Amino acid sequence: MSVSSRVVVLEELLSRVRRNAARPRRAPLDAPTAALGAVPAAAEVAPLAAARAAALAPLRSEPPEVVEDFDLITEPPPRPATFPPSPNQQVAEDATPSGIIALEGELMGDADLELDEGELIDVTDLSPEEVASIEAEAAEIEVAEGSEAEGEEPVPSSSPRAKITAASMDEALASAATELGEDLECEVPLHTPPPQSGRQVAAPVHLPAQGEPPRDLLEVEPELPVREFSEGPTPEQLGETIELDEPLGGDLELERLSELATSPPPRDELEHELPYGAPGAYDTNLELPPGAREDLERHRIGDALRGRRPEAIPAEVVPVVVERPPLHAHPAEITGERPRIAPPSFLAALDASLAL
Amino acid sequence: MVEPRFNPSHTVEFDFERGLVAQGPTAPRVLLPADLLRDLISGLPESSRTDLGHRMGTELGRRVAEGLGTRAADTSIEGVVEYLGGELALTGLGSLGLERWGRALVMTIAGSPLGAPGDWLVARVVEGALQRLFGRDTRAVLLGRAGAMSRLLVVNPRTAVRVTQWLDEGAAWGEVLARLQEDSKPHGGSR
Repeated sequence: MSVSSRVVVLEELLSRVRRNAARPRRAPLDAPTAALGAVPAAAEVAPLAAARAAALAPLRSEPPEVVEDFDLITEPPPRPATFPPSPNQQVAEDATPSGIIALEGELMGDADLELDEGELIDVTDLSPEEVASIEAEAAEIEVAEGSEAEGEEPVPSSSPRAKITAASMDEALASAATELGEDLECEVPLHTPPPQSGRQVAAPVHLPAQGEPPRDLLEVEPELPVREFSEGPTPEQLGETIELDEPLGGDLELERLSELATSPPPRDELEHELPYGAPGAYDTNLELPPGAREDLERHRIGDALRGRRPEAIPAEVVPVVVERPPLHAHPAEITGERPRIAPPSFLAALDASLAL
Repeated sequence: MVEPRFNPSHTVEFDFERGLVAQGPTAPRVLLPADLLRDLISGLPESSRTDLGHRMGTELGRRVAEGLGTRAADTSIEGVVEYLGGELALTGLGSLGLERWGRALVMTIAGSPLGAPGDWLVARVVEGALQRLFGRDTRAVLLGRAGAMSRLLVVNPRTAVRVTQWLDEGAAWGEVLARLQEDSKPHGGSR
């Protein structure tokens, strides 16, 4: 409810209060305890509703005819939740302790519910849940009545917020804080607020008590009864029991799992564990052994000789291979790389062969 | 002693104006297909083929002797192989090599375009070259072929007859060389 609508409602309420004040008053009760005792009398019809009406009436400065117009059983009286407290009420609240509410002298309701001015009603007997439910119901009725009485269309929840007509930013913040405080005290949205509605007070959420299973949102009423766990299957689940015959023969023995598990093969002592890392990667810091080049050359020459050696030649006969060197090879490479054969001259070798 | 290296630079001269191919100051050469020369040699009698090979070898020996100078008798094995092999390569008869199995001297010819039928001619060429170079009467006996390489055992004419007899009897060339080593020992042999 906007501020302007509240002002209108307040003005109407003020006029009604003034009209009620002009009407002749009934005789007050003798004692304050009589007013308290009248509550059980009304409670014969609707104890809780009557108690609600009695408790809420002084808070909201409700005119008595409004109480008479409503059925106490089904409909609680409307509650102008957004009304600011009157000066007298404010003084009364300041003067009384918490939970003790002073009744105004303008109450003109039922005879049983009528209280004198200054009489006190202790509402501490009501639990906070009951007080909250009473306030919520009163707020709903109040909103419905306000919209019908004023003949105004309800403001859509998605409508833009009222413009702030403040002279300065400080005033705008102060007024916004005041409104927000009032909203926090009085209004609780019943549905999801629209994006433009600003900060709102979240609706109370029912938290499951400890030990109570969390309720699924998609759960369908009524809930299924919780099954009791039993230690074994029921006879219905077992059905007919068929007894098997004894085995005719043959010893069936299962091998032990430990025997089936094959032990890992013995590891060779010379086996070297491959290093971890990316395959194909080599350590760039590796160096050749000191005699690797000589060994490789000796191995190469040995392979060449073994490839040319016939099987029938004894081992003591070692061939001496002489090949024509390449024409464009560097002489130093030839003399340095290949072992020099220091035989006699070709003529001596020829003569030796001719001597065979 | 520093031996001179074989230098084949500008050895073969092609005279396009006159249409001649020459190898040094010698007589002009004729470039013939290898298979044609092989067929031509096959059709000649043995004496003619032997003479043809010896003349070709003599020509090679002469050029090698010119390259080595007067030091041919003192030339090392490598030097002879280098020069003789170089001249044989310029002729186009393959690549020359040398193996020494004990005291036996085996020359190898690899990659001859004449193939196995031309091994006999190459053997005569080697004989003629050694005759021209060192004045020795030699025989080059074909021990066998290993792929594209043929082995020629350089021995005296009498030993060549024996080796040829062993080879005809089916002895392997290694066995022939082993027999030669056994026969050459002072205490034995049927030499």
